[in-house]
Amino acid sequence: MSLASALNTANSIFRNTSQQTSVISTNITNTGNENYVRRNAVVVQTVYGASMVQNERSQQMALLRQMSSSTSQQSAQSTLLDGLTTLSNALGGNDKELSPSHYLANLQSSLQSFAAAPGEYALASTVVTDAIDVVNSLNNATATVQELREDTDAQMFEQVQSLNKLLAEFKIVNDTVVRQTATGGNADDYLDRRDTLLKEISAIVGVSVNMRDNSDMVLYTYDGTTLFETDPREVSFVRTYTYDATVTGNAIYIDGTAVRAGVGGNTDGQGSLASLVQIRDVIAPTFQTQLDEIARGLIEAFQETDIGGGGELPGLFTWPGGTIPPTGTVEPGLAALIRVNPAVRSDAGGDPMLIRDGGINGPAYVKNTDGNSGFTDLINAYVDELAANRDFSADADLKTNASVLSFASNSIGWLEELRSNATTANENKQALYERTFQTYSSKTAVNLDEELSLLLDVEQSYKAAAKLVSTVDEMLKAVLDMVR
Amino acid sequence: MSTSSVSNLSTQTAMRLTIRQAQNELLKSQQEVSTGFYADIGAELGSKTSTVVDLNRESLRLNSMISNNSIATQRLSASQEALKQIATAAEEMNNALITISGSSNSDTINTTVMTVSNSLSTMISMANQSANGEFLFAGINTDVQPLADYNETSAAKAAFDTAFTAYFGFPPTDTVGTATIAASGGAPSMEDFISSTLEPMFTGADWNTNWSSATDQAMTSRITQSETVQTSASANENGFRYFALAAVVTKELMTIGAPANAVTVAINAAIDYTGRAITGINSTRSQLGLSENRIEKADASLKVQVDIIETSLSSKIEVDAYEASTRVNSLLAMVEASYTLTARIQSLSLVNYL
Repeated sequence: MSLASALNTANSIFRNTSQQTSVISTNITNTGNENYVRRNAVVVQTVYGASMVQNERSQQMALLRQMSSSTSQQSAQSTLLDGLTTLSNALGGNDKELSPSHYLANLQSSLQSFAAAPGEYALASTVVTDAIDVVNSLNNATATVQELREDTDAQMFEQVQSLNKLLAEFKIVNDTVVRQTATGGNADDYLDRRDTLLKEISAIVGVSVNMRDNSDMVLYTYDGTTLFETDPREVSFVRTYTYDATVTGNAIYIDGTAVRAGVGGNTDGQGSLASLVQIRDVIAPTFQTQLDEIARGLIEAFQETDIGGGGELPGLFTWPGGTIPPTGTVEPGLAALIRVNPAVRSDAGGDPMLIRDGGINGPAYVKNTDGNSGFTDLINAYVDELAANRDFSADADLKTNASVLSFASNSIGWLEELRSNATTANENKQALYERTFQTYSSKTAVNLDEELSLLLDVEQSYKAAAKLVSTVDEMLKAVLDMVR
Repeated sequence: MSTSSVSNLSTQTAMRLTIRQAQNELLKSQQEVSTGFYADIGAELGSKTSTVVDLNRESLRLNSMISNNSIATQRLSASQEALKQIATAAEEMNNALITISGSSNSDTINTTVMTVSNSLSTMISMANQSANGEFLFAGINTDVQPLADYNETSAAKAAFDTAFTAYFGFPPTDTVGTATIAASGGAPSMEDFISSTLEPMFTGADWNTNWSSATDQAMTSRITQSETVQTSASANENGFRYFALAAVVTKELMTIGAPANAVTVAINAAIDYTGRAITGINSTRSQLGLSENRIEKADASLKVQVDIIETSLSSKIEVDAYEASTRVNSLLAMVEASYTLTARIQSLSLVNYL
């Protein structure tokens, strides 16, 4: 071995150490970057005897899949919980003091008080005021439900837009990865970028990942639709701007297949889209149906009968339709339309005392024909009707034979059951996400201490090489001096 | 390939979940300690929340029933007081009438007539008593004074005069005619007039035309979920009718100058009617007393129900304050430990030693 070859070896050491230093410093720079996968610079010997540095990326495909799946579950669950919390908040806090149920209880008790002193105008007015409260709470709850659907629709639109953007970017990055891999180039930075995009896409829609040659990635949604294969598939959604109980929103189509709504409080949906669809198309409409049925039950309970056989008409509670809606059948949007009959509202020129006497719909409907101020039959009949079982539509997803009062409280139970499940599930899925994140980042992220110790190694071999060069230099100098 | 299975990111975030969960839990526990109830009843109970809502409503309803029952109780005790006064007036009337029975001394009779007139006005004013703006004895027609005053111009007086004139053929002021009235026997006679003409005017439909604007139907109150009781009496009850009849017989037939034996017949009839009045008033009083008793029992049972409901409500939504406060303490300790650990771990770095 000649001195020249020793110099060459020293040279290659310099080359290797500088490459290693550069990799290590990149690692150190990205210590806190959760989307960075650690690179490892290893010195390898080629078959021709040269030693060179190869970059290895600490890829963990299995963990990445877990990460993507837990991200989409967590995102679905927290989106659902947000929607349910909005609905639940519309009913007030722990005492549900804004719920129709609460105001119905007040109405029942003021009717009872009115029955105890039926001659008192003030008590009749209290009944009317309480009835107005009931109507307002039904109207407000409906408004909240429909606002929630509008907001959800808007969110869906935004998420579909960002999903399309992410997929377009995914296409560029994936293409580069494939090209670099095929030509033996360094695709590490693009792989990082692709993993990041994958995580972002997972938050919107659950994906299953397939790998093909040249690390080409193919994405399917969790229910099997192709989302990305060489090219992104079209995700399309037409926005609906205003909602009421009769409006049905448009579906989100991925590659021509509609996104399925998640099921249950502990939703089986993955990705926020599934939960948004669940809120907009399943939960909010069911809750709306329940409100509509409460409204219908009220109109029915307070209907007036004509002694002469002129048929039943809405009494204390009425709606623009002006008829008694058929029993056991949902009248969509009734909760937004229900009103207290102006005939009993003193501010509309009506007479609250008609609640005692009957005749809201004219003289044929008067029950207290003698005009006795102590007449309690009708008031007591209303109290009984409130507590009497009646038929409700099975579409409301509640017990179909119940009193208006218990139907209203069952509705709260239904919502809270969902929210309770969603709260627990959210905690669990959050924990799963954190756990997966922990494992994934343990495997793929940077340990500063380790990098520093590697840096020390590199420093040592650099020093050694420097020493080598200076020694060879000395030796060559000695040889030249000898010649001189 | 990384040799270690731990990265800076994972050590930094290791405590993240623990701290966040502990802080959430801490917030909840603190609220639970201070309020004594679950921080989020809905999330805690799920579908059982509807039971809580039902129980709350039931408790509100029962409490409102209890307070409404007090209105009925007040009405009943006011009615009892008025009826007691009426009974006393009837007794006085009875005593006065008994004093003159068998006597034909016109002074004594005049005194008696005075006493009876007083009794009648006591009865009428008591029957027109009101409480909370409702006339107590008006049946369900509570905003109209049930009995009209009896005086020279009243409808009842006019009706009497008409009936008298129609029966005897002369008005009660015709002293020549009245002196010829037979005591008993076939028509026309005092006995026949009282029993076949005058009495039906009080016991029949004429009562509602001439005397009373009350309804037969009395106020009823629902005192429990299922029990309804009568909580007022009507001025159409027999006690009031016979009281008025006895008074009218006394006032109108004893001083018109009829023969002594006819007056005696009238006195005896008046005594008889007073007796019936007293019986009637007493039976009304005992009826109302029964209602009072029912309400008292209903209140007791309602209060028991409220207690039961409150107990089962609190067993559903209350938290064990002791448990919650120990939880706060242990959580505080845990959060502190997490902070310390995080700080210590973060400060461990090779950089410090290079």
